[in-house]
Amino acid sequence: MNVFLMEKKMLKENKNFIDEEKLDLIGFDSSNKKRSGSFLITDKNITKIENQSEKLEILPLSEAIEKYSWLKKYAKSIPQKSLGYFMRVLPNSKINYPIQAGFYMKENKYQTTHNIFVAEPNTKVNLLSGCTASVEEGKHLGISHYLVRENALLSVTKIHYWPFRTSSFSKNSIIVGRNATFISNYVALDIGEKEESYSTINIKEGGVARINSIIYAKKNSNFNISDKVSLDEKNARAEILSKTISNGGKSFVKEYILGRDKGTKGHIECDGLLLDNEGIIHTMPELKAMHPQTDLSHEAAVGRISEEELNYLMSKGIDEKSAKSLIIRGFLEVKIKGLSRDLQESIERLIEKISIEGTT
Amino acid sequence: MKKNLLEIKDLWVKAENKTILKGLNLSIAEGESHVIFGPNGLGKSTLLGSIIGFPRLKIIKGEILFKGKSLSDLPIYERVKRGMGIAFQHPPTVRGVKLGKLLEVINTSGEKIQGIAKELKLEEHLKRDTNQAFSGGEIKASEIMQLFLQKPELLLLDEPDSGVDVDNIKIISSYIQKLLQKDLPIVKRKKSAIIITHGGTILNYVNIDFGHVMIEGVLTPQANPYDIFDKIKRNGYRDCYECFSNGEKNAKRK
Repeated sequence: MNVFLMEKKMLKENKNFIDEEKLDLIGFDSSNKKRSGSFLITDKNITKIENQSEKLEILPLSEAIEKYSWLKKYAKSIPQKSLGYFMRVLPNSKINYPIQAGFYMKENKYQTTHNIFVAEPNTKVNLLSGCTASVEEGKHLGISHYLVRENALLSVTKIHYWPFRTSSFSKNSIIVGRNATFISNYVALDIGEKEESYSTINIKEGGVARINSIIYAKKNSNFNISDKVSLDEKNARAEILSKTISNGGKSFVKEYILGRDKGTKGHIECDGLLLDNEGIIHTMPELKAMHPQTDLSHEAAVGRISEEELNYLMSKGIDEKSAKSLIIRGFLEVKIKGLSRDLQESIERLIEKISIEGTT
Repeated sequence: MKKNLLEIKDLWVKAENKTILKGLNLSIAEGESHVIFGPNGLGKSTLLGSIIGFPRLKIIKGEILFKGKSLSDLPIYERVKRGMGIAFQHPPTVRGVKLGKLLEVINTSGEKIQGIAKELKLEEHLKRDTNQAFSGGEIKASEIMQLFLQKPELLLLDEPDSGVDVDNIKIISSYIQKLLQKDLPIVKRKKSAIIITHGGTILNYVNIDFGHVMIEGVLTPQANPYDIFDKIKRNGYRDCYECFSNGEKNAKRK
């Protein structure tokens, strides 16, 4: 092999290494180990579709729209040749390993995706969905629909890991069927200058939604998050837990639950920790009752690390920096079920980094 | 003669523009335990807070020497590193910091956390945020457990007996006894303590060497703690303070 070709090969290998490293950060395992299925979009192309389970269907969305006419109902606003996935878990099946979806902006500055995930009745599945970029600046737009049918359980973990000058906009609509469960864990600990996420969740009889988000707004980054949950039918339940740390960034979190029927129950908890004088945390827990037998509540606490708590930890022999770091780490520590050990460790490393950053 | 571990000379302390300690003196030698009696709100906790170094308490006069060296300007954690430890009466809830994690971080003695937590009925609490919805007794058990892992030379115990039921006070006291090396002959003991009590229950469970009464920011000289407590029960704090303020012998004459 001549020198030129060798250099080219090394460059290519190096690039692949960078890609894999980036994807690792969002939990996308390029080797597909311990994954039931994989779908990767790099820039404007689908670069991986793999399906290791016969209980699972994974297609490009454009093909699925042609195959299933009923999808048009959910995808009215989606153009025919949309870039994105269609995933469907066949009825009465439990998918052991998570399915992974990755959205990667490698060279292009713009990426728009549309996705539909269907958990058919009596299914159980975990989805890991991650977004990241190698380009230094760019815009990502993602629109997703999740249909969780009767008695199904869908757990979605979304990890965003953006370079500084990128912005991300995502819109999600979720329908939780009768006695179904939808769990969403949104982890945005290293984001670009702007991150917006809007979700609407409609829950049918006996259905449950648990929405958790952990957010870190560093200097010059802006968050805007809104989750609107509607408890449409009797005994529907929802719990929202939002944890935000601002270290100079701005974070606007609006969480809303509407109780429309008998026996519905909803709780919102918004916690914010402000580490410096420049950041802003604006949380708005909002409740609306449209039935006398709905039970809705919220708690919200936003503030600095309290002097009293710091003094207490210091009186146990812990120096000031370590005490602050202990509080920050504890604040962000949310154990997410179904994560691979690698991903859990990667999140823990980020939390560790933030806990050190937050004390300086 | 044993060395003084702690020496407080003419200490005046202010908090939020109110002078609370007004010329307090106290000497504690190695291996001695001292109890301080007194009505609530008259400076007992301020004394412990000043020794540990809470920034809101301003020393306007006097000094505190620990192992012969002044503590002034030393941050709280440095004082702890030098060998003191505190158990609070009303500690704050520390959001996000699990008790188990805190115990792990401060465990400098290598004691086994699980076993002690089981004995102190705190196993379930290890997974909770520190002090989150702990009962009065659980708080005391958790605070004493923390000291047990740190093994300080000077223990500052703020009302370790308040709000604790009889069964639990026995267990907590057994740990205080161990910390104070009460199994050793008095000449061999190295650990000392200041124990604040309002109700005096702790005297039934821990052998304490000396007692003082605090009224209006000063202490009576050291005397037999059991005699003091008898007099408090009979005549109240103020009479007792007057009785002991000129020394133990005078008090006995009365």
